[in-house]
Amino acid sequence: MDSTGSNSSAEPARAARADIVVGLTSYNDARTIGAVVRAVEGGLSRYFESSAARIVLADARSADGTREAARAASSGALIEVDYPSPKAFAAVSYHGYPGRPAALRAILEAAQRLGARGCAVLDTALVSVTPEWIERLIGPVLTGGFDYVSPYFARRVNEGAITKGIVYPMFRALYGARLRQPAAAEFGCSARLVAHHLDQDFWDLEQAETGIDLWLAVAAACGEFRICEASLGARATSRDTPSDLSTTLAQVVGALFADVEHRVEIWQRTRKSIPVPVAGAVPEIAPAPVNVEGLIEAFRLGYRELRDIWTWVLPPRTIIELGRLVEMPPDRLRFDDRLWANIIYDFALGYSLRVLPQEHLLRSLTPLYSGWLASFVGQVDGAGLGEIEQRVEELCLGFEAEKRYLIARWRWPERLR
Amino acid sequence: MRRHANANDPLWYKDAVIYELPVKSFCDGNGDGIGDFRGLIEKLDYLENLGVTCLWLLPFFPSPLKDDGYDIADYTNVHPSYGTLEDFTKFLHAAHERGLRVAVELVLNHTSDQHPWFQRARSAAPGSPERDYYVWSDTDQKYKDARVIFPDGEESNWTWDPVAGAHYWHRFFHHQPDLNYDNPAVVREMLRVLDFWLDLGVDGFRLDAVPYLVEREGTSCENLSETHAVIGTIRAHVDAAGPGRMLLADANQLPADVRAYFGEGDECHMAYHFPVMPRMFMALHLEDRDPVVEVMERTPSIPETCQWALFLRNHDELTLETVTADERDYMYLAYSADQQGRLNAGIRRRLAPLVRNNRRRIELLNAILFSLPGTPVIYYGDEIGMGDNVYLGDRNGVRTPMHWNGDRNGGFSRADPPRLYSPVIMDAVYGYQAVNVEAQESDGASLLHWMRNMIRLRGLFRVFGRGSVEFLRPANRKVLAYVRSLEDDVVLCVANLSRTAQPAELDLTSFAGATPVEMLGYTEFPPITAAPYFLTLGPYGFYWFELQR
Amino acid sequence: MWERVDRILRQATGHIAERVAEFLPGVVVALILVFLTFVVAALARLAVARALRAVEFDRRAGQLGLMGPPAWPSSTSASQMMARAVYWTLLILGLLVSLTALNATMPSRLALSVFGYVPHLLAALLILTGGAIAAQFLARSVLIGAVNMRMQSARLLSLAVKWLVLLVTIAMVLDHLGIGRTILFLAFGILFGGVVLAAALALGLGAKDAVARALERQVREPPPAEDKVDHV
Repeated sequence: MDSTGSNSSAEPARAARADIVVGLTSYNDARTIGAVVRAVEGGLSRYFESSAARIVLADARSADGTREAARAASSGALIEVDYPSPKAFAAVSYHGYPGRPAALRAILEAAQRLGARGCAVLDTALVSVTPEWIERLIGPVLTGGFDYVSPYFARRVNEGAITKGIVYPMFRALYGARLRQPAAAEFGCSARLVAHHLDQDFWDLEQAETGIDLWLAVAAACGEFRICEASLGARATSRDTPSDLSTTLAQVVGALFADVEHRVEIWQRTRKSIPVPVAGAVPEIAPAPVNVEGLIEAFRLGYRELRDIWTWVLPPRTIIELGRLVEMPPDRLRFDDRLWANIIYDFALGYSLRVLPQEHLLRSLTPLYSGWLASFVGQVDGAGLGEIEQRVEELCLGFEAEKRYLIARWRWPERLR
Repeated sequence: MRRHANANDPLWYKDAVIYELPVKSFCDGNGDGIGDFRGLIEKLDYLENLGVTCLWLLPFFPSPLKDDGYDIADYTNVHPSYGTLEDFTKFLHAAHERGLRVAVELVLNHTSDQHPWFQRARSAAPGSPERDYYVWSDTDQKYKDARVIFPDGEESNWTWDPVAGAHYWHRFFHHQPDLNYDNPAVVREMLRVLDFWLDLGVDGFRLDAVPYLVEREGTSCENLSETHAVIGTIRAHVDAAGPGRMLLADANQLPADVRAYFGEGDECHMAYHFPVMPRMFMALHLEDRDPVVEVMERTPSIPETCQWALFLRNHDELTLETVTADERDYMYLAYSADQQGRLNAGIRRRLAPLVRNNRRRIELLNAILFSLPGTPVIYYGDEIGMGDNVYLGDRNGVRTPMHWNGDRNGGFSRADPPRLYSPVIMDAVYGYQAVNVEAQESDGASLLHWMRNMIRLRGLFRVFGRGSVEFLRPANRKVLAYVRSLEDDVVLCVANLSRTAQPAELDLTSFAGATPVEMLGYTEFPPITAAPYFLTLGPYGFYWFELQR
Repeated sequence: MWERVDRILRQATGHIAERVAEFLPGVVVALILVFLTFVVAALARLAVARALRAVEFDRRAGQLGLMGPPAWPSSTSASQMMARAVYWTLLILGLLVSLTALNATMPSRLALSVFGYVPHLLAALLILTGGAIAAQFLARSVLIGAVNMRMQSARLLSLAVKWLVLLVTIAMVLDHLGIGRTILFLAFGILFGGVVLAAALALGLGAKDAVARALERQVREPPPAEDKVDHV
């Protein structure tokens, strides 16, 4: 991958070395990138004044002058890297950003080339970046001996629901690391982890387009690395992402399931999850109202029409329990945590056994997710961050308790039909 | 999306599951009635799916086929019936793509009498370098102390060659003259053969009939130190070619003698554990664990980088050479009351017929095979419980075509049935209509699915391939129990060798505090305390427990 | 008299010789054609088998259409079947061509008609299988998609799609076979129109609420909170 190394602005900088590399991924972010660059440079000069630092920009061929805006905002530490453009037919990812794996790879390669001891990655569509973020993401690596810093955003009930309801609980139960946002686009990592990441064999896979962030977190959690979380406050982005729920769900959950299939040796042997230290204080957030009527309606419709498809993956007991839930009045609809865990695990197994075309399988999960979300929202309506976290914690315990169900079924799979 | 965990591990053979197959019998791709590499390539997905990690191919070299290919006429080519060298390299590539390693046969001891070396030697003048490739003598009285290995086929180890006007030495059939390893030119030739296959990318070699390479007067001509020197040379040569290549010794000897073939980790990487195999069958029939425990405890320790290869059945007869006369008689009475099934010093049956097609016994034996220390070798067809045909001569009854489906010839070949190299099994119990891959694929409770699940499960625990073993001695001798451990991983295996339910009281005090988790269903059992641990086992039942702390 | 006999004999032999001479080249050509047919058919089978194997046709077919390899009805794989079909078609066509070369009127007429029909038959078969698989796959895709779009009449829609595809398939098949062309057009038109109308009605009636809600949503500002859920 030598082609990724060409840079346009600062050719001499190539030979230079840097202790810190901050990678920026951008795509048509001319409006926001300037603020991000300034915040990053501010953070670098405030907290890491004595360290040599470089900002590496991996731009996805923006058409709105993003690069120019970045150059204008930068005080000179900016390096631009090019990378091969993604295949034309690649699906539009939920993060609304083409060629993300190649961009991340180019940044990590640049960090390795520059000999950086710590590397952080940010997306330039963010509008909530502050100089403190840099300290939180890189400080633990340089001074705390950590290898991987995962962001911990304060998210309201209506934010990151797939992460709260599926990705985090399953990630935690399977790989034993309590990373609350394992699929986040921002992270910090050590030189050792950069090398480990570049060594992974999933970069060129088709699903990497949507799954790369999660896979990198899994790779870190599965290796012998010290992991922590950095509290970054709120995450606000200016980029419009494709909003179709079932596509997003299929992409995120599909990436998770695909990886589960290839790390059987690890997750089947991992027992108990380990808490991860959090750097920085977690702010309180205002509750957000969510309308659950539509969600429940989607769940009921799904039960009526997709039940036949679900019987390919879900055992009869689960189907009957779902039938009971459908009959419930909306305010009493409650998904049992263990039921939800079993459903997700059964879908993961069905995905790996390929009992249905995988796209069908993943998309047929949407109504179930809607039902679960309605139940979840119903339970934490109007709650603050602490209560939401508490509820998610209970859900995770359900996933951890039911992990034995997944292991047993995985080891001795019997097709349902 | 293909990723392979131990792709670069030089000790891969320790975690491997080897699948032994004759190309001839596996799948016929060109419809001539004989299996070939094209057919084999088609079936690689099946093998990958089964979960095996290494294929061991029986000889596929040009040969007059008087000893099923072990009489080689050209070491560096492929028998035309099985395809071309190009087909082989295609196969090798396709196998590697699926993460399957490939081991081939290296028949060191002898060649075919059709081999150009022998033809050259017999007409060359006595004492000439060409003549010296083989072992010649004017009398048939030399090396009198060497036994005859195939007493049912040969009377002497010497045969008169009228062309040469001398006797030549052969430990096996008279059409397989032994090479003369006292001649450095022979060693050089063999290293050249080795290089040929190494360069193609072959991952391992099974060194056939390895104890008999060198002869010395006054000895049994087996396991001589000169023989070990030759093997050491071969190992050094293989190591020089790069890491990750494996040598597997075929030495049908007692473990103490076989031990020498590992050297100090500088001869073979692996060797068959011959004596444990008949004793597993014996323990099952006696309903007594002692035969297995005894032989395993008498097994000497081996160097860190070495590994035993374990098997239940292979392409030869179930050999009884390494058991005592009494034990042999017992085995004959127990497993082959009729003469028809016996050959040389052994029983020529497949696994399923040996245990009267009892699914529980098949599972029990496989469970023991997969959990004893060593790398298991599965003989093709045994994963679906194929039968045999004792009315075919020699060992051909266990080398019949693989059963793929219920179509003509069991889906093995599109040729007319009479053209097949061997008839398929057609009886009512084991016939291809009843026992075949396709039927078992669609039946979730079939032996094939069971084998697949067990192989996968075994693959999750490196302790099976690499851990130490310690036998427990519950008062009930019908229960075989042992603990495998590797670092923090501890696995307890308990097997009931009897046809009825049995209790077992295990002394597990050293694991007090741990919780046994049954591995197949991931079920937690009551925690271990200082008191004896009580278990009940169903008929031929077995448990694998992961002891979690 | 002998002269006459001789003449007649000569004439007869000449006649026969002539006939044979007339006939022989045809036989030779026919033989060559038969031989070539075998060669071409075998080559084509090989090529098809190779090509399908190269694109991993079996695996893909299993994943796409049917529920994986075990569901394939026959024990021979899909690619083997295709290769075999190609082989036999070419073989039969080749034999028919060689019959024509013999210049026998009867077989040649038969040959010509069969010759004209076989490709249609094959194409029809191909269309039928492809259509059936596509109908099944599309019906499920539509069902899931429609449910996820919260359309109440999802099942109807999926059924309509399934029957639409099947109908088009059947119509194409019959058209290829040349069976009842005119009536077919008419019937197809009626059926198709009927299905579309029924689907439209069903959709309209069933999705009335959904449509109303959707429109409401468009009009109402700001959208309900539920739509602000950020899922990732």
